Amino acid sequence: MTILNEWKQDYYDVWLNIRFEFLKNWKSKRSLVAAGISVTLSSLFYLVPLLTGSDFPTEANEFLATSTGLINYILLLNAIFFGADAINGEHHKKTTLLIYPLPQRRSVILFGKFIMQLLTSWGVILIYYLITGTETVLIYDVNALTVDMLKSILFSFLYMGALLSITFFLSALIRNPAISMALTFFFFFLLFPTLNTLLLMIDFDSSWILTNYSAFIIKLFRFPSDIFGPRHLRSPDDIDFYLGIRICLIYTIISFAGAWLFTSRKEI
Amino acid sequence: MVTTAIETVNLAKIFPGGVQALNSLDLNIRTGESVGYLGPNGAGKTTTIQIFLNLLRPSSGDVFIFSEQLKGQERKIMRRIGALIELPGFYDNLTPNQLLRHICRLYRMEQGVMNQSIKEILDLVQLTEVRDRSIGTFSTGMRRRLGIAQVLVHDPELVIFDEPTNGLDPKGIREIRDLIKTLNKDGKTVFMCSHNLPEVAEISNRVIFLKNGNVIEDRQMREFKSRLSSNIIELKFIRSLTEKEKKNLNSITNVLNVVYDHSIFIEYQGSLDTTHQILQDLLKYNFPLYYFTPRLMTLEELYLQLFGKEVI
Repeated sequence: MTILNEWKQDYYDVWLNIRFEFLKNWKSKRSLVAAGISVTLSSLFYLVPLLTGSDFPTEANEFLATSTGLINYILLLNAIFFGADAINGEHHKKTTLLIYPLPQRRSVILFGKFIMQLLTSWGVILIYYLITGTETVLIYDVNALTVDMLKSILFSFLYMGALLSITFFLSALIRNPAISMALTFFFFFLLFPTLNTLLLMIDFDSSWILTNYSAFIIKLFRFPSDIFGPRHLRSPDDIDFYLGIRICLIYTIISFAGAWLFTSRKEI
Repeated sequence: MVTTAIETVNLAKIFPGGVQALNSLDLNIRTGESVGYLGPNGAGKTTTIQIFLNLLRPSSGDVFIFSEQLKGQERKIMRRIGALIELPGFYDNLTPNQLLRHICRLYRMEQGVMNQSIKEILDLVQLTEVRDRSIGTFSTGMRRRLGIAQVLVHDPELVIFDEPTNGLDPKGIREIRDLIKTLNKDGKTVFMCSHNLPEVAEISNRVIFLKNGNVIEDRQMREFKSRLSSNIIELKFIRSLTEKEKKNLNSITNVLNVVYDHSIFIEYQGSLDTTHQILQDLLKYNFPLYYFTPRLMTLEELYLQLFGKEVI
């Protein structure tokens, strides 16, 4: 009964922290900047051809694949904006001295923060897709929006979870927010891609490298299936779609567990 | 009923690298006390407070707050504590109202009680006018007062302060000191870490001196008074003394020496109680006395006596 009551208290505290993080995000310029970048990038693929008088691709899926080509930058930007200083930023600004002595577990703060930052990131991604979708309808017609669009959105949400989880882990591990931000760049722009190339060179399995699966977001449009369901999630390309989902989930869970451990155990 | 507010048993803290911040610390703070916790830099004051607030884990030993072991019951215990450690960071984009609302919700305060409590506390710390202004625009003094507000908004039984008046102007210092004294009068237990010795002397009824992680003095403030005795009494008379009176002054029992300056200072032998006898003798011999004050050592002077010239 006591444990059940403790859980209830924890769930309520998580909810309070989600609300609090929402308020902080709402008042922060970061969300606005991220949304602005999302709007700008997604508009480029419609406005540039329109202003220069160039032709749009003949196939809607080709347009969608090109437009979503930049979503990876949005995902990484989200991870840096909303995750890279999520934990160590609190230490840096000394707000831990304010919130840690309050009657709540540190893990509760972490969960509330992660959920809200994930929702905010998803919001920024949705803006990108909404604009891209609207552009597709304007250029082609409403039938051009197939189930692949939904699958692409869901996969970017999943991939975003993994990215955010890794940045939360780095933020919990490293005290300096500037270093954790730099490391996030290093991991996703340099370390993972370089490692992947090297492993391919020596013919070694690189399927565990997360960044390989960001390509799914675009590939879904290049190899449309029209049917939504687990059996049809396998891409006709050579990359295993199921494996992509599993890898994203594994990265999310393990990194978040690491972030949880460090946040709960680390001393001020 | 007097119970224990804070108790530590063999509390020790060794930081990575082998720095021993606390060394088998035994404290017993009773409810309703106002305790000044003093010591030089690195004595272990802030470490102690951070352990109480679950910001640091002890290397060994136990902490009991209101007779309940802190370990494993942190959330329950924290509901009864309000703490202001140094000057914490605040969320600059938020307003005091928004921040305090979040804090009240964590303390499970009902809407009506929360509204009333926030209103009262903002009135008390004089931030009502700026309750909906971004904290980012606040001065250090306003931030300090907001810190006090978040300590008190849930009406805690134990309040812990670490340098509560740092960065405040003289008016602000006076207000905060009066506020802390009022809190103690209202029955709250006050545990205060401070470098400011006159502040501790004014606010606290018990003083604990810490050095190298060990308690070296722990006394009620009134007991300290005798330690603070400098065996000097300052006197003032309504007119200059005659030669005969000067001679009589020297012959009063226990008076060792008389110095004539802007006032008259007499050095005496014996304890602080001797001053009572000297006063009686002065009155008996009809000295035209209008000012009689045993000169006490300041807490600073005592501190220097205890710690030498260590930086405080």
